[in-house]
Amino acid sequence: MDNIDIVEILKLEFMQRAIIGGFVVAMITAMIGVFVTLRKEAFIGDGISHASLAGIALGFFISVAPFWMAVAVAVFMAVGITFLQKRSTLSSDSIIGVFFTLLFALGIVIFNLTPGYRPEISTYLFGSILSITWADIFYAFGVAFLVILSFALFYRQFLYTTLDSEAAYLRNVKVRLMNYLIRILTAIVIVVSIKVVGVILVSALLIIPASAVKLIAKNFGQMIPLTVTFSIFGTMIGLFMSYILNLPSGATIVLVFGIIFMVVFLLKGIPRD
Amino acid sequence: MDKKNFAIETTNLTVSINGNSILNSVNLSIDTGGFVFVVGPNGSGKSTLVKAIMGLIDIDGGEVKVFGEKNTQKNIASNIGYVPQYVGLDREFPITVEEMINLECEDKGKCHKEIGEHFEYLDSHYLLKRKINQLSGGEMQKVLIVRGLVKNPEILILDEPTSNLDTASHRDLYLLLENLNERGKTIIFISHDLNVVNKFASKVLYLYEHEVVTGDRESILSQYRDLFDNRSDSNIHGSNHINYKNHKNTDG
Repeated sequence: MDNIDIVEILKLEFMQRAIIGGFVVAMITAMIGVFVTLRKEAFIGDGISHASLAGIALGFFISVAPFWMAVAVAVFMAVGITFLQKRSTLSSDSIIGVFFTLLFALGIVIFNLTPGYRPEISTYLFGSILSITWADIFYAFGVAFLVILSFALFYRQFLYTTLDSEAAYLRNVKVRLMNYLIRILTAIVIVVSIKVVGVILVSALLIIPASAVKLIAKNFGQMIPLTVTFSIFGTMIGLFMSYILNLPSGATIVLVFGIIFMVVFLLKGIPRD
Repeated sequence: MDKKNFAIETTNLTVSINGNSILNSVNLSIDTGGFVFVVGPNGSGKSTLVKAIMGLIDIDGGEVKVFGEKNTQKNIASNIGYVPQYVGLDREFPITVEEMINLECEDKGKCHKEIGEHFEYLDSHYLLKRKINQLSGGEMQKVLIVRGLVKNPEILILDEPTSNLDTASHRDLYLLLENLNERGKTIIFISHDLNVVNKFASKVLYLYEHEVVTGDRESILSQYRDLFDNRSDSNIHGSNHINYKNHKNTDG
């Protein structure tokens, strides 16, 4: 491939949208993904993303903005899990498993009952970054602002709650509030990311970059910059590869993430005696 | 007596976990500037007691006061430093000792000076740049001790802090704690090591069968040894029981 091809690709408006949208989504999933990974909450991310399908479907069914309905369901799921974890004798995994499978099933049923125009369900299951709209990008920037603002205000509290919630409590950190805030941010980030990789693969954006960087980071200060770099780099490579090779964009991005992860894992993830 | 004479007071403190009674209507008071060892068999509720005092677990009933005020999070954060058993931390968390301790600091300049002094006391300043997964058990324990001291707390609670320390580090820790105690700090030290208690304790708080007995080392330790050899209710509740069950301060 020569430079002229790249220039031609960059002239395409849908590619411009995909690059901008992919960049923002890669950044915010990486930022929140650091905390999701270090809190060992990969399954929560997966659960919230699947459950949000019910919101999208409901939005189309009652003709109310699917994005906002998805946000509502995702936040409901995030808050519900956080609330029940403290109050139920069931394990977190069981609670999440029950919640997300029910809501995912509900989403599929509602999608099929929706009369008139509705997009293909596969758009939401597997994502389609090449069909991202300016409205999607607008929402992504809004969520990015929210995430950056939250990090600016609560970075120390997020980190301390994640590392050692008891010690955080003893330093007057509002641990319960921080737990809710991290989960709600995770839910909102997941919803804006669905257009890029779909509900089935979105947790890959949250988990893979942070997991790889965890293997090589010399300190926590490196975690967020390196994870964001990994995520943006992988998303752009995956985006261009999917366009050039005519492959599904979401799956291609996740495969690129997976290849980078495997290289890091083979180099750093296996202890050598 | 002025309420500030007590660093910690509990009134009818009752705690159960998953329906199992752990502490049953415990009343105790710990003098400001005291150095108290909390002892008792495994599962007797030593850690539960201090966690209830610090508000880290929900209580079923009763009241806890710190320097005469309710144990709100703000009050606890202002007055108590805590050294937990190190096992609770995720050792694979990608963070250095320095970053972890910095989380405690609000005034970093002042904080770093004191951190340096504490590490020097424990002969461990070389640990600052290491990631926590590169620390041995004893080194991690020292880091947690320093972290508990960062805010220069009036009360320091240590939960079995010597379990991973070598003999020299034991001695360094006790010198540090004695020094702090001489400067007016209240020290509460959980241990199940009878040798440690025998060597260093003056006042002992003993937990057994969901209840608390307090007294001087000699009187408590005679009971404690007995119970270790032959765990029998008659030893704690019988006629030769220390002059107080479930609420009395024999030397105070």
